[in-house]
This record gives sequence, structure tokens and C-alpha cells, in this order.
Amino acid sequence: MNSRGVQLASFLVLVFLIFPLIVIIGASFTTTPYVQFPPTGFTLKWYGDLVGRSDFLQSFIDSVVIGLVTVAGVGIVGTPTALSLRFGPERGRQVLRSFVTAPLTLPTIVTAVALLQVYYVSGLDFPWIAVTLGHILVTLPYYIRTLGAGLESLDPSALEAAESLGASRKRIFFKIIMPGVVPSIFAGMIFVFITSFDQVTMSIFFSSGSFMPLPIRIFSYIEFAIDPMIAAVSTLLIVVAFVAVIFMQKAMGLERGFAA
Amino acid sequence: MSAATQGSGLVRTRLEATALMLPIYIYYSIFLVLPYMLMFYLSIQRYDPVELYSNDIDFSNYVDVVTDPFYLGLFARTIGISLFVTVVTVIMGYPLAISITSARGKLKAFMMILVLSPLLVNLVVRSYAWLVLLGDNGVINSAVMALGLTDEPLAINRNWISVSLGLIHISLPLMVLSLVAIMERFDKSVFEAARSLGAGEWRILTRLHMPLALPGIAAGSLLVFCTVISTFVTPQLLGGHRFSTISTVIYQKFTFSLNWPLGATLAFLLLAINALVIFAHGMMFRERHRERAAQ
Amino acid sequence: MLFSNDIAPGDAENVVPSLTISDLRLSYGSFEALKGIDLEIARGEFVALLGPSGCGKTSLLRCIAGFNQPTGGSIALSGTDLTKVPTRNRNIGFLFQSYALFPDMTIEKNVRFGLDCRGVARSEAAKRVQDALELVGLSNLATRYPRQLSGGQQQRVALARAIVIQPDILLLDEPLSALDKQLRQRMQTELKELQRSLGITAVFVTHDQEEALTMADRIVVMRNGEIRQIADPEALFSAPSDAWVCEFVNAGNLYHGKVETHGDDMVGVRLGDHSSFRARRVEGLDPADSVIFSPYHAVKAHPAPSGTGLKVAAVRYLGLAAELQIPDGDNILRVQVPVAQAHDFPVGSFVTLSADPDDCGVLPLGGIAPTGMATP
Repeated sequence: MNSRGVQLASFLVLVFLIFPLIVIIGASFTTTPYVQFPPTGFTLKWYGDLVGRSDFLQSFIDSVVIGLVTVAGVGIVGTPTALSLRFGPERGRQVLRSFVTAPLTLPTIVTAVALLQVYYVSGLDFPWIAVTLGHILVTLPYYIRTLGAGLESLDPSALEAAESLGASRKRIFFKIIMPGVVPSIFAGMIFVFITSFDQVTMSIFFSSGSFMPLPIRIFSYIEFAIDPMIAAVSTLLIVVAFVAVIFMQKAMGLERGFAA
Repeated sequence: MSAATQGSGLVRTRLEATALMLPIYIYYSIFLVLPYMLMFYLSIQRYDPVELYSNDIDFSNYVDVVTDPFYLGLFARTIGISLFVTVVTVIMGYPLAISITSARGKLKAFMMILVLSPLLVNLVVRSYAWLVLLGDNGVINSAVMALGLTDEPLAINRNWISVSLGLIHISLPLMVLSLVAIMERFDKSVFEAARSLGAGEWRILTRLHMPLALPGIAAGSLLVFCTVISTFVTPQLLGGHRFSTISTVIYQKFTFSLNWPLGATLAFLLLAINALVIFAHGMMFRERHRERAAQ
Repeated sequence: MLFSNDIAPGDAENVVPSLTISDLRLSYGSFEALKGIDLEIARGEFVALLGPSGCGKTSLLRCIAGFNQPTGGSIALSGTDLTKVPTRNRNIGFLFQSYALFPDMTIEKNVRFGLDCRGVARSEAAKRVQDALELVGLSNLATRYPRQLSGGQQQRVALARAIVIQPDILLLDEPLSALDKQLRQRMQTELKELQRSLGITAVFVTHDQEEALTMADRIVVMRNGEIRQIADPEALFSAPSDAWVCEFVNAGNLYHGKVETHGDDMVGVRLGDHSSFRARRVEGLDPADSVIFSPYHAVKAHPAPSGTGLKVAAVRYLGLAAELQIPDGDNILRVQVPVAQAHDFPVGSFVTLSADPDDCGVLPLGGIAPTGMATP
């Protein structure tokens, strides 16, 4: 099955997936004032420019804060949900699962404009809270599924053994369950943070000149200009993404993290 | 899943189970159910340039959309490009999934990382990369013109080509994941049996491998189609005003033209297409699942 | 006629081929799965490859099938070198442990698959499929799907699928191990009868010595990528080639003791305070580095007055026989008596033993440690 033709095709497809990212990384070092690949010369000028941009810095801080608050919110709402789905009554579990993962099936843009109306009707003016609430909504299913996969992989007879030895529920929870699912929780939280940090669709409707998470800042910038500074900030985001992939791989294996 | 998961008595009653679900029930009620209800209410109101919307309730927005050639074209274009992208990801993803499934150890992990990494790279950044590649002064056009193949830049930006490439790039990893997931479960001796019976590689691929992979192809196609048809960032950046999709028009209705009722109508129709596709997939594969489960 | 060998017996010699394997080697990196296998398999013969897991028996079978590419040596079928021939052109029938039926095809389509690959005409294919399904007794299930069949039925379909193409050789990779015991025994008989009536050459991999004994004309015992012994079932039991083989097939007692007397063709070995054995001498084998082997049937137990001779430590019931476990020195002697006589030898009773020296022999150790070998 895995003939030479298949291997060649696979190689080309991998190149297709990775080449655009390589172009950006390369272009961020060009000395020309416009984007060029392969780059001409080598300079860190564009990274230097980036440091001087207080608007990008502010956007970065906003994105990080939103990401962290999202992680906390998802943990508070999602953890009991995952526990209930795993240990609750068997009957009706499947229906609850589909209900809980509904935001994944609903197009994000539709959910975003729906939230926008509630925000508008409420008359409040705290866009970053609205954005965070939206991020929690769209990342909850990921967290619940990742933690759920971790809980499923616990050996049920270990829990029964603990119970037969007279362990209280509290003890079972803290001594058996939690240590077993820490990697899942960790991986889930990394995934939630990245998803929040990268979220565009949910954020764009609530953004304005005074409030712009980082991806929206880049988005609105490249609608007008494509210069190497954007390549530089993109390169930084790519590096962060790769570090995160390796982290998740170490924490629980990539496929489980994604396909849970 | 199995009876074994009952264990531990950690959650003892249905009441306790429900109590644990309370936070998500509350959250979804306020931030999911309520907004969707409000939006539906909005979609059956009329647009008013001053008040944003008026309280005349009817389905005229829906009627307007399905009778307007502009919107019909928009739907046809969006569905068409989504189907096209789905088919291309199957064709591109299939050999890669075969290679990943047959690879071992470090090579396999490396290939998985290459496939998955783009998923974690910001959508805007990935679209930007294609802008850099496809723009009139972009990498591809500079190369082609430097080689003297053409004087004019190729028409590969802000049209269906650039949008398709961007969408294939973001959805291909999803397809590969679905295909790898099913191929990992194949019983390899089935292919050895076919080989021992004298089957060539092509016959094995078309008669055995692909039929076996069909549920994975379908699951991947569903995922890719629903992702692509609802994606907003990629068509907005790579198609601009010249190649709009349902999502980018919804965005315009809610931001620039502020015709919220019409935007809400489009949003609901987009939702309806998604629901229809998911429903069709469920119908097609429910039989199969039941048979599999019964064996 | 369906099968090529249904022709007159005199012609069978020319049609049914034989398999010659010489110096076959297979390695994965530094691990040698096969270390130079030489094996001749005659026409129409049923050969079992027997050994513990990891001994290379499956690797050998997969090399014959062409699933594994050997690193050295050759495989020839009736004098034609197969080594470079791809699997699909080898004309083999292969039976898998997991049956490996094609799940999305009906039984009929499964069986016809190999004929389609060979471009057999539709009407002829239909007839051969029908005949093959009749042969395995499943012609009424032709339109079913594999998942609607029981394990035994699935294995029969796999068998029909393998023989309908009239393979030159049938290769079986533990095909019955997924079945429960009763069904397995019935299938063993059926498979053997079918093989004999078709006169097809067959190579069968198993780790179950009982299965090998029931089915095979010859048994090839393998260990660590090497052949330890090739023998018919009778010879394997009466004359295992070394102590390891003896223990693996559980052919009889192994004793290690002190050599007391040397004769011209007999040696006497003292086991403990109360027993000594005499056995045939083997040329070139130092009895001090060897073990005495005595088949179970060779040793007889006799009740003895209390306080004399050896003491029965345990009795284990094996169905028709009971096994007395009798310690003496470092050895534990295992003696089988008919179950009806077991009450003559209760635990704690005393016995004397006798053995026919003609049945006993001296065996090389064959790579197992001398101490503890005789413990049950």
C-alpha cells in the first residue's frame, strides 16, 4: 500500500502544509521594505519595530489576559461537567454529551453574532468581558472532551479497589482521580489557551479601535498593508504554536489531545 | 461506555449528577440558548435604517433571500467551494494518511507534528502566508515573472483559487486526522489476504482500502465541509470583496451595513445548511453503526 | 472438476508441488528472526511449525507467503525460485488468525475475490465459488456478510476463499486459536480431512503442541530462529532431540543425576537416595552433561510398604490418567497411572518405581538449565 508514489504524494502534501509557514518565517528577516521570499539579506529590524509598537503590545497583553481568564472559566464550568458525564448515570449520557459539545457543531460566526445581540441588548460596554464569555463558550467542548478522554482512560477497577478498601469519595477524588487526569487537564488548558489566543471570529464583532486582541490587530493591519513586520509577529506566533505542540505531545500524546 | 464505567460510586444519584452539570446548564442558557432565540426573533423582523430593526414580524427576510439571485448565487458559490475543498482534501489527505499509518516511531511522530502544527498556527497568520505567496507581487508571481513565463501577474489572488488554497490549507489537517484515526484500526491481515489471493495494489486500494476507510472519509468530509462553509477569516482575507461567502456577507451585514435582521437570516440559513449536512451524514451512517454494534 | 488434484492419482505427482527452503535468513536490524532455515516439504504433506512465541515460526510462514522479504537464502516451489516473486503471483492460500475476511463484501464475494483477480470467467467463477462453499458446508450463507457469521463459520469462509484459487500450497497462521476448545478440535479434524482429500501441501503454524500432533504429518520444532527438530509426531514423543524439546512438547520425565555405572550401551544414573535409572547410551554424549529422558509410559509405579522407597507428594488428575509427583533428591518424578488405580497411591503413600531401560535415553540439555528442570 505504501508505495513510492504514495510516499512522493505524501511528501508534496506535507510541503504544501508547511511551506507557507516557512515563507513567513523567511520573509520576516528580509532587509527589503516589502515582503520577499527568499529574503534579501538578514535583519532583525522588523522584530525591533515590533517592540516599538505599543498598540501591538497592548493587544498582546489583552489576548494573554483574555486567554488566562478563559482557561479559568472553562476549568470552573467544564471540570464538574466532565466528572458528571463520566461518573453520572449511564442513561441519557449520550444526549448530554451532544448537548455539551453543541458549540462545536454550531458555526462560530453564527454564535458570535448571536452573542453580539445579547451584548447589544444588555447595553453594557465591557467588550473584553463579552469576548471572554464568547471564548469560554467555544472552548468548553474541547476542554470537556480532553478531560473526558483522560477520565475514560482511568482504570475503573482501580476506583473500585479504592472504594473496597474503604476510601471516602474525597479521598478517591484527590488521591486516585486527580493524579490520573492532571496531564489531561494540563493539555486541555493549553489547548483552550491557544484556541482563545488565536480566536478571530468570536472576537472581531466586539473589537474597536480601543480594544483589539492580537489576531484582530493583525487582521485589520493586513487588510491595508502586507509588510515584513507582520511576518515578524507571525513568526513569533508560529514559534509559540510549535512549542505548544511539543508541550502537548509530551503531556499526553498529540492524537489524543486533538481527536479526543 | 461499558458497564464498568459505572464504578466508584463517586456520583451517587441523578441529583448529584445534575448538580455537577448546573454550571454548564446556566452558562449555556444565558450565552447560547438565549442568544440564538434572540437572533431568531431578530431574523423575523424588518430592517430599519434608523432603529436597526422594526417590530413587524414576518418571514419576509427569508423570502427575500431565497428569491434574490444575488443571495442564491452567494449560497451556490459558498456550497460549491466547500464541496470542492472537501473533495481536494480527501484526495490530498489519503496518501498522506496511508504514509502516516504505515510509518513507525520517530518518523510517524514527526509527520504527525507537521500535520498538526498548522492547526495551532493562527488563522490570520496562515491566511497572511497565502497573501504573501499569491499576491500580485507575491512569491509565486515574482518567480513566474522573473522566469519570463508571463508579463502580467497570474490571476491567483482574491478569487476562488486563493480562497480554495487557503481553505484547503486550514482543513487538510482535519481530514488527515480523520483518515489516520480509521486507518489505524484496520486489520492489516485483510490486505495481506487480498495479496495472497493475487490482488494488485490498485485492486486492494479500490476494493478494500477505500471501502474500509469510507466512514473515516465521511467523518472527515463532514468536519471539513462544516468548517469550511462557516469559516470567515480565510475568505475575508483571501477573497476580499471580490469573492464573498455567506460568512463574509454576514460579517458585512453586522458591521458595515448594519442590516442585522438580514444578517441574522443569513446566519440561520448557514446554520440550517450545517444541520442538514450533519443530519444527512447521520442518516447515511446510522445503519452501518447499528450493524457494527450488533455484531 | 474443481480442484486440480482431483485428477487421477498417478498424475498427482506432477501437479502438486513441493517446497524447498534453504539457508533462509531474516533479520530486523540486529535481531535475527530466522538464522538459516533448511526445510524440505514433500508434495501433499501437512507440516506443523511448532514453537513458543518469538521462535520465528510465523516469520518463516510469512517469508513463504512473501509478506516478509528474507535477508538471505531461498524458497523454491517445485524447483522454481520464489524469493523475488511478489505475494500476489505466488499462488498461495493463506489462513489468518483473525480470518481477515473482507468486511464489506458478502461471503460469496469474499470467496470469489481471488478468482476475480485471476480474471476467471463469471460463470465458471460462480460454479467454483459454489463448490468451495459446499465443501466447507456454507453454501446457504453465500449472501451474508462476515459480521453476521460465527467465528467457526468465518474461518470456514476464509478456508473456502483460500482453496478456491487452487493454491500450490496452503499456509495457515494459527487459524484456529481464536475458537473455543470444542470447535477448535472439530475444525482440526475437518481441516485435516480436507487437506488430505485435496492432497494439498500445507504448512501450519501453532504454539499448541496438541494441535500439531493431531494434524501434522511432520512437526518442525523451532526455537530462537532455528529448527530444533523435524520429526513425525510419534518420533517427537519417543525421541525428542534434546531436553528443551522434550520439555516443550511435554514428552516425559527429565532427570539429572550422578552417573554411577558405564556399560557398553547402557548408563546408570542415580537420582536421589531411592532411585536410579538405566538408559540407552548415545554415542558422543557425555552423560554427566546430559539428562536422562524417560517417556511417561515407560515408568511404572508399584505400591510399597510404609516407610520404604519414595513418597507420593501430590496427585494431579489429568482426565483418564492421574499423575503422581514423587520427589527424590533434586528431581521430582512424574509418573502416570490410570485414573482407576489412583486410589492405590494416595498422597503420603510409598511407592517403588521401575522403568524399561530400552525406552529411556540420554538427551543433550539443549540450552536449558539442569537444575529445576524436573520440577512440575
